Amino acid sequence: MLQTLKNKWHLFYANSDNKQFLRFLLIALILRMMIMPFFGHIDLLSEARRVFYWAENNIFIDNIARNTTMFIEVIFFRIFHFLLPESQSMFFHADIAHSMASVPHSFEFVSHLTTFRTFFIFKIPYLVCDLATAVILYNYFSDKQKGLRSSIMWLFNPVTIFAFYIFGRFESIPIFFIAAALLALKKNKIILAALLLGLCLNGREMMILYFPIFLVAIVFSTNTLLTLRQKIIGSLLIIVFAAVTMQIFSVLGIHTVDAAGSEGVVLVKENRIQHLFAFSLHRIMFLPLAYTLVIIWVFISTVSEEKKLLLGGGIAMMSFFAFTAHTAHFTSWMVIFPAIFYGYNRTFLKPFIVFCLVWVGYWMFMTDLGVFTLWLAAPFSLHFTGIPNIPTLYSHMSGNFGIFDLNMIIYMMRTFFLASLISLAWLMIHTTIHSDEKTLH
Amino acid sequence: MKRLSINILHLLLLLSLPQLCPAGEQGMVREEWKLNQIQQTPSGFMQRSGRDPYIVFPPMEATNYDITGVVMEIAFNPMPEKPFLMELFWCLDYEGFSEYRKVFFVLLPEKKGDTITFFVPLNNQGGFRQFRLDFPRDIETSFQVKRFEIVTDQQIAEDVKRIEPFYKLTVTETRTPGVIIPYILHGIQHGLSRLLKDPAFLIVWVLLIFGALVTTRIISRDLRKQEVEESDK
Repeated sequence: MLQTLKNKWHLFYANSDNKQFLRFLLIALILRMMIMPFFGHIDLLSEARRVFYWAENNIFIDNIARNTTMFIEVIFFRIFHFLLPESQSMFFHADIAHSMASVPHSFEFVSHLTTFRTFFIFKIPYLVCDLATAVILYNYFSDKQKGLRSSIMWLFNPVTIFAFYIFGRFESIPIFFIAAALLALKKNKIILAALLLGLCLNGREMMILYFPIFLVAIVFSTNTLLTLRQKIIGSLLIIVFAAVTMQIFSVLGIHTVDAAGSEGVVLVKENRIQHLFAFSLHRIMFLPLAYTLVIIWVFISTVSEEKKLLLGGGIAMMSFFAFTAHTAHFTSWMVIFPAIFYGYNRTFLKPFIVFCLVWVGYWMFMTDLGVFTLWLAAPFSLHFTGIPNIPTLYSHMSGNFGIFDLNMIIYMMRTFFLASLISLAWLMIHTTIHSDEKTLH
Repeated sequence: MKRLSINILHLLLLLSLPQLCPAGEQGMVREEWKLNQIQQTPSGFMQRSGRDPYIVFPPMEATNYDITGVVMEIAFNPMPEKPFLMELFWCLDYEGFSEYRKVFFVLLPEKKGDTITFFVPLNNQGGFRQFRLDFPRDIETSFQVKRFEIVTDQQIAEDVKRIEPFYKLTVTETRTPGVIIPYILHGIQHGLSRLLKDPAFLIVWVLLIFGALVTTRIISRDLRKQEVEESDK
């Protein structure tokens, strides 16, 4: 067994592409380890309190919409709990439903003497899923140079680094599962893909956008390699997972309560769902419009299921950011798509750089890149919380800038952001439709 | 109608009052302190009665430019389990308390005893006339300010804990290089010094990064060697 593993490792290490990949993976790991202990949003405290509560009470599955993320976080917490001597003082509260999402609570939390190790340890599951996603991208292509390209974009883009390690959110967990589902689809392993995508849907509520695309792609697949049995099992699996995510059983009158004692909330009743339908013009809603076009394309197209989910899922997710309100770290959800397409097509690099720059600019003026000076730098030093944020500074400085006040700058940045999304979407469509079959398959 | 009279029993009761209420001497709120959403318990401790508990201390006789900080001694019953945030505001005669004339600081619970004694350094060129001490809005424990002493020199007893105060910069201050650069440098220094408070983590963290760096170097060396070998072929 050990000898077999050794031989496999030597075989892997003998390849120069693999060596390059390992080197980039390690550089990415160093970069991440250097920032992991020092930054984080108050949401990390809220999440940590829940994880602590679940772990202490041996709860691994709850009546919530994101059990995959919860399960992974609880498992990691159970493994590393012994390294957190102050966990009781940091996370325990007699009433788990009591909100701690306030400035004083955040500052009290980050003032613990073991804050740095706590932030480091709580981000380990995010790190593992993030690096595992890079491994998936590297193995996504038979041509290792393409895989290397794709994984480098994933490992060194500012959006995901910000989301997972500076904002400190669990987004890498569901993203890992969508990446794994895409790889399984590419290898025609439909049931495995359905299972992985189902875990992705149960990792983050908004991943539900992938569900109809996957279902239509499977049900109306013209792929002769897929058997009817695979189609039925794959479809049923994804329907069950989607039903759990949407807590659809609550609609049927089944009363649910989560471990914290809060009543189960149906996804359609959540406030955030209103964002999906908020952007409209003369009663025409733009996100549903884009989504319908995606579904129609998935229905009529003859490309592989993998490409249907890749392009359809990518366009659907990017439409979400184009036409709805969101926060800075949510953008990490869509980065997986340009990263894969960059493997297929080198020309993605420049529009992606533009997209990253515009994303930084937009969020700098919108909320100081996710309220960096108020929350995110607080774990490193509370002194940074005393610096006024960029929107405040710009407001004071823009007195002589004519029409270019803060609102105008935000509108302009938002427009640039939309333009960068459209350019990426156009390139994704172009790559899918016009590229040589050899390049894409 | 019963006649009102003072007898020996009344006198005895009056004399024994300080013994019955031992906090009366030291812990009872001084009359000139203004309490906001704070009520006093029979034991002389204080408890919050609302979401904005604070004490306003009496104004000083004259504006004082020499103040270097405040020494406080606060007893808790019981000692809080978590760190908690407090704010210290100041003002001059002609101005009220403001977010830009305050420091906030976080007190870490003492493992032994029920009292925390600490020094909060203050640096304000405009002088001080009056102070206000804000307690956490959801503080659940009782507290007693045993000492609130304004000090005018840096000679603070060694056993008194020195607290790191945090304050807000105005936009004007932020745009002044002479203010913002030292402020940021101090913030970085403070952050790095906090790493030393958890030496076990610091050692593991540095070793992890060092190990990853060494491994990267080894792989880079092997890669170069392989490239040379392949180009030779």
